[in-house]
Amino acid sequence: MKVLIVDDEPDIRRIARLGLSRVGKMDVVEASNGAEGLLRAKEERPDAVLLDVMMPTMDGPTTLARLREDPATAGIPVVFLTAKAIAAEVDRLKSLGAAGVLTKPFDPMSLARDLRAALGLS
Amino acid sequence: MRRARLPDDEKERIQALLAADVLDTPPEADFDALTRIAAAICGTPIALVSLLDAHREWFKSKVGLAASEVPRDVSLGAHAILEPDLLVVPDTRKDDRFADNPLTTRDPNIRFYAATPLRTAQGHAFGTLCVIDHVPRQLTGEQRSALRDLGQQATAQIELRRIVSDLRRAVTDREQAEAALRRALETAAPPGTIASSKGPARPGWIALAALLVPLALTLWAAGAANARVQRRREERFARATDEVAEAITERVEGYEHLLEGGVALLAASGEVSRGGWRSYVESLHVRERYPGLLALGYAVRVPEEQVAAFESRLRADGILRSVHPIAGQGEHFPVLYVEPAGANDAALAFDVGSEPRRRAALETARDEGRPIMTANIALIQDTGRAPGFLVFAPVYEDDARTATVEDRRRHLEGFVLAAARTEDVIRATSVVSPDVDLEVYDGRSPDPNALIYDRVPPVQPIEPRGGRLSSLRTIAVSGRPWTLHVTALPAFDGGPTSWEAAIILAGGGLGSVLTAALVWSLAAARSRAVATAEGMTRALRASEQRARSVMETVADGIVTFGRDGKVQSANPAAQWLFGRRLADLVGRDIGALIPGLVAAPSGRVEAEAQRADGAVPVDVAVTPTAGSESFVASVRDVSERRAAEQALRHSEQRTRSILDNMLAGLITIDGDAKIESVNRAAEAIFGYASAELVGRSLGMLVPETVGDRAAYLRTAFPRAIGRITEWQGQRKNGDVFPFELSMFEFTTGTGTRFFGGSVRDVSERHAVEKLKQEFVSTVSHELRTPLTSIRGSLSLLGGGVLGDLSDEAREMVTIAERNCVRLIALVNDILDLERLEHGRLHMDIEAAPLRDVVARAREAVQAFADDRQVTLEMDPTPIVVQGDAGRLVQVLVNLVSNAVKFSAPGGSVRVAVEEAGDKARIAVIDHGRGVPASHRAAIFERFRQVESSDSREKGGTGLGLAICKAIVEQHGGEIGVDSEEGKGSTFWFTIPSAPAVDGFLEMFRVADGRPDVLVADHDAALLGVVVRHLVGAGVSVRVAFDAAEAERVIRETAPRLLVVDLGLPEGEGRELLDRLRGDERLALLPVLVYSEQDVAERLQRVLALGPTRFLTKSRVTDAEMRSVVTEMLGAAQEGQA
Repeated sequence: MKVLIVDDEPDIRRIARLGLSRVGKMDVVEASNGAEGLLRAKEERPDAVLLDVMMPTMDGPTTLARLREDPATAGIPVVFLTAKAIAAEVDRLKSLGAAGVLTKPFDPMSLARDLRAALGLS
Repeated sequence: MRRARLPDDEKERIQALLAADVLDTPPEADFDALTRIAAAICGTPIALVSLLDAHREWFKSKVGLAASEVPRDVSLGAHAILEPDLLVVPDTRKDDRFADNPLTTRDPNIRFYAATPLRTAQGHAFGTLCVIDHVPRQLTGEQRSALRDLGQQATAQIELRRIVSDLRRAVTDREQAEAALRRALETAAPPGTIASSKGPARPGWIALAALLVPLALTLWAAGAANARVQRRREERFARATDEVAEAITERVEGYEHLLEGGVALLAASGEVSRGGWRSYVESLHVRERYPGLLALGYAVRVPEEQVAAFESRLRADGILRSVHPIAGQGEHFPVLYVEPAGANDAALAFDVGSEPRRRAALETARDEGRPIMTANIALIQDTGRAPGFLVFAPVYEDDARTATVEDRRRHLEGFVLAAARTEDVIRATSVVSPDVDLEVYDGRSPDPNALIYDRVPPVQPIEPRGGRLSSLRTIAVSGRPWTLHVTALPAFDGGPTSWEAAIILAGGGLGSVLTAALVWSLAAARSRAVATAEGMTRALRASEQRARSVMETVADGIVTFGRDGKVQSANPAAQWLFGRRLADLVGRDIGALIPGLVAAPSGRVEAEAQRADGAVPVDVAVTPTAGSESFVASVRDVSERRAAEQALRHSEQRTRSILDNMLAGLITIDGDAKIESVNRAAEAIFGYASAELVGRSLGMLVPETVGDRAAYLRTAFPRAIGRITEWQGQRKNGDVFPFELSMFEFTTGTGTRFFGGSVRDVSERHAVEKLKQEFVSTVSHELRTPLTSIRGSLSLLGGGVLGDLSDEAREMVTIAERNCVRLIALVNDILDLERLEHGRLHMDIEAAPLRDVVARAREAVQAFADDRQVTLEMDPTPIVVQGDAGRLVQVLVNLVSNAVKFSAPGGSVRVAVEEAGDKARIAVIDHGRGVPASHRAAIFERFRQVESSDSREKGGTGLGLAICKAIVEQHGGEIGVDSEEGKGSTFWFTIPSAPAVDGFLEMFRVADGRPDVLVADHDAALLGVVVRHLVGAGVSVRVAFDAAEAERVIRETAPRLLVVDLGLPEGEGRELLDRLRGDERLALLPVLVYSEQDVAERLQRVLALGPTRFLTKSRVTDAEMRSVVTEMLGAAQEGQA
């Protein structure tokens, strides 16, 4: 299973990568911003995208919309990673077409399991 | 029927009447005016001027009666002329003189009769002025005195006619005398003259004529002169008697005026102090002006149980006396004040109601509401025990009704009383007619036992020529009859006996006799003229006396002054007002007393009266007297009114300055949304000056963007009353801004309704809030990101993902991770709490079954509890609450995990749910160490834990309970803890229960084709009743619980009729109708407004723009409502067909 992590924080990317690859035995590709995320998604065709909400220049929701616009990436399930852990925000993000919402701070030890749950895989 | 006895003076009375030549004369305007006025003043249908001759009562003037006379046998006036004063018969059926009189029992059915006798100056009553009604009634004091005054006018009219008739007779007499003189002169002419014309003279005839004529004339003249002398003597005596009677009456009337003045003082001042009473009495100069008067006092009504209170009131004034004599009558009238002090102190606390004679008089005074004199008594302060009397004037409670005897008895407060020694009173009148002897008897007859005054000790008088003159006269003094026995003394006949000699001398010569006759004739006319003048003087004096007594008792100061501005007189009120005695006022310049006042008429002007101790504000009006010889200034002390006005002004200023200095804007508007006032803050908020706003519509402060400003205001009013709501406003410069509005309704003293709105500009606060929100959001992101990295790293390290760690390293990593988790929790809690406390935490309030809430909480805590080996016990519950299930789970998780934390391993935590009124109470019960009483309140505050070590030992941020409290309170519930230290705690909270849904009504909330009727009402119980009735009548029904639901159902299912309660919450019903009538497709939907309260007519007109009817629930039966519904449905059917 290949997961694309899109986050502007290198530390977060690194921890998430370790959690997903070491604990969850997943393949991980990274992008440091929305534009790069779109590019990587098209190139790598990941099974899922873990998408940070608040990013400079192109935020998570915009990136999601752009992914949906491109037939090549439109079908990739997206799970948001957000620091705003309030119900209204979660509902809003889900209504944008996300498969799920994970909140920061996350536990890298359970990240892979949570991601699978959000995708309805386990 | 009792026939009236003949008066003692019947003969003289009839003579006086005949002398007036008025019987059987045609009606005259002078008398008719009097009867019309009498009827109008007394409010009676009938008024008469009647004259009584030997056989009948004949009506000189009449209003409201057809008959022109009645026989004397049945005449009411025959009784009236026996009375010394006004006769008032409130109900003829209750008076044995009149009860079976045919005029009472048959037409004209007289029930009420009041008559004032008409008397000649000699006191002979020849008729009455009377008023008559067909219903029993009473006369007020004013009506009584008006009737007396009108009676005097009638008498004056008749006297005038008598005088005219007398003068006519005198003129005839003189003409006859002159003719006789002329004849005599012709007879005595030189014989030659006669012979020349009549032939040869006959001296014997002439001599005889010369002898006989003078002789006859001399005899005639002498006889006539004697008769005149005797008549004149009698007239003089009658006048002397009149003067004595009048002097006594006037003297006692003077006391009555004093008493009335005292009553007026008590009424005007409310409560008069002992000192106040003293200065009032001092101001009267009793000794000089009212000789014979011993004391002026005030006796109060004191029920038995208040005797002690009365005595302590005396003690408070330093008077150690008890009410005396002791007489157990239940009601006492002890003397509270009596002045002049000293000589009268014996009367203090004397119960004037304790002795029968005094009591009889005071009861009559109380019942009749006028001053009444006692029978002869010995005054308590008079050690000589000489005959004396008291006059009582009743004092009633302020503003009390005193129309009936019962009223007067109920509202009696006490009596102002005057005490006098009879001898002193009457002796003071001795300057009048000193040449007669006077004996006065108390009562209607000269009973020697009732002799109260004897002017001259009896000596044997010389029997004068023409017989001794003596008369008996009964007069009324303050309601008490006194009989005067007047006898002429020798001195009375002292002067005019020389008349006899004059007549005898005159008899010697024809010329002198005739001259004497002529002189007599002229003198007789003169004497009548003098009598008339004296009568007029007396009338003038009486009228002056009346005017003076009015002046003396009015509350306003009255000052008269001449063209030169010098004060001529001042009444007691003026003396008080200026703080100067009369002597000190008279001659002073009016301009010095009231600066600015001049001898010219003025309207009401405001001025200042100069007193020795300063200036007093007064209102003054100056009017000229007839002929502008002098001016009358009426001066009213307005210092109290001014002080009140000033206090009001100060209070207004204070209020204004509070309003102007308060931070919130305040706008008041009237019922039509016109701005009535704005304070400074409101001016600043909206950018307008007060003058630009007052009188304009509140709509000008509403943004143009809202569209219909009036509608916006209509919705704003009911929502904003009694609570804070947020609205959009527009400033003068066009800026639209948010403001908070809290409205209140108030009514002014005149009953006008106003609304006040407290306005707070919240645009700045909104800006700050927005900034803060952004800040919180940023912090949340910026804090979480590094925390995520730290925690993630530690987690990976601790999880062994990156290779094994030494035991010590693993321990350190665990510590770091645990604290990192705490830090994250803290950040989360702070953010949560911040949002909760600003009401920005979104809540989805809906019906939430507690069963689910409890289950979810258990799920969340179970692992932790297992870990701590604590058993969770959760009661199953059917209760449904109104709340945000997620937040309630958060609260319960918090409380349960706390309970678990503080439970010993092996312990248990129980969640119990029960109903408490309209709320559900959820309790979390543990058996831990408990919460000390001192901490129970503080525990719900932020960062408060029972022991500071708790946060380290037990984990947690110290914010959990604060968050719980905020969530519960946002739900409208309460949170608390009951605890016994060492035995455990019960944390509980309440949440409003969801309204139970009526299963029956629910059936009518689902779509089932087009309903006949939609019933919209927020009251489920009433709705149920209505629906049952309509369904019973075969009508298909839908129900709606609120306006929104109703509108939706109307648009979806198009019912034929809407039954709506306007009292739907927040005037929704009204708004719903406005919306329906504004929609052309729905404008014609028939509506039955079926409301709790009557719908005002004005509102009915507004609402009845379509086919609308109005019923008030409490006024119609359900069956009537049902028939109106079927009737309206029938009409709707026809309309569609």
